[in-house]
Amino acid sequence: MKIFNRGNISYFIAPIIILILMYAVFTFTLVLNKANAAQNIKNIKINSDFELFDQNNKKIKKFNLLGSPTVLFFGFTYCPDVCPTTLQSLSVLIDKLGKDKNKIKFYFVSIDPERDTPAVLKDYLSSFNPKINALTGKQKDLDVLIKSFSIYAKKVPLDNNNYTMDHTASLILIDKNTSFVGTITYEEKNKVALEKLQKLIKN
Amino acid sequence: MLKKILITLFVITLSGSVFAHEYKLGTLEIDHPYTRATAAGAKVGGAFMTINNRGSQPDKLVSVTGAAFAGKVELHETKMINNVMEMRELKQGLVIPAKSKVELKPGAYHVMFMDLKEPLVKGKKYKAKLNFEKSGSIEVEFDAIEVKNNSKEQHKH
Repeated sequence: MKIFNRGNISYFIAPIIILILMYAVFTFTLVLNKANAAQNIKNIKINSDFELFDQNNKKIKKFNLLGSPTVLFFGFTYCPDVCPTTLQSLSVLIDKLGKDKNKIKFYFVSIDPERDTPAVLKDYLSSFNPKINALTGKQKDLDVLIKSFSIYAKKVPLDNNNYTMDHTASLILIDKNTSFVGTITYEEKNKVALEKLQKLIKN
Repeated sequence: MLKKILITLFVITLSGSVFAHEYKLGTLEIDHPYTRATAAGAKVGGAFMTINNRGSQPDKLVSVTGAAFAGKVELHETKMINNVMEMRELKQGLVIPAKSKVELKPGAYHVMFMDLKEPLVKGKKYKAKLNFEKSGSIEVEFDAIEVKNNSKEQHKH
């Protein structure tokens, strides 16, 4: 009996071809999904308006963030370590940008509006680069920014009614339409961070 | 050229000897206690040092007291998990294992001066007492310096 006549071979090969096709479709779908996910990241932007205040009590709305790229850093003034370090590093980076520094807006966004009033923030920011402005205000308005960029911010009680905040430490980079472009992490090398800011200007 | 190198080396050596300060307490060596010069109006300041235990017994830093410039002092640990900064009090103190070095540094363990009565000014020194479980207590001076970069690029004295 001949096993390998034409009919028999097709019995063997047909399921294999179907399997290969299924695999191809599956892989293609995965690739598509990934592309979509990348697309979705680009669609992260500030999607509703807010009414916040800078350190001079000047009202800042979504409209004020449009038109030029912006760097947002979420933190609080009772932060002993990561926030002042980041603001200090950012101050140095801003100087390294030279004239280009005027093409980006920089905001230190308080996640602790209870303690960080405009007056407190004004005092605090006087120690850093004058290009860095503050944003504070009502929780619901801050939440617009916090939720838009999936910032983690959680109150953690300490002794004697004190508390601290766990929070995302990365700088959030957004373009002139407030669309998310990328981050600068706490561990980022200064050189890479500077390149990211320069690229943000060109966006 | 050689003269330049020699001068540079001399300056480096000099600045090293100016900044580095070390304390000994029993089998413990406490190297270069320093505190972050704080931003205007900041109510908290982190302080750091390296503790080297040359002894064969573990010891523990249980508290920091006697800081006249702060309302309260706690021992904390900062952790970065998925780019989220978390800070927790080390309620049980900080263990210094036998024959080991523990580094208090930005982004890790630190002494937290809280309810600051005045900003910590760059160049000034601030006294506080370190209390260890076994070795006892010692008063040290924290140099207030500008802490610029993150832990990985931190300048070491």
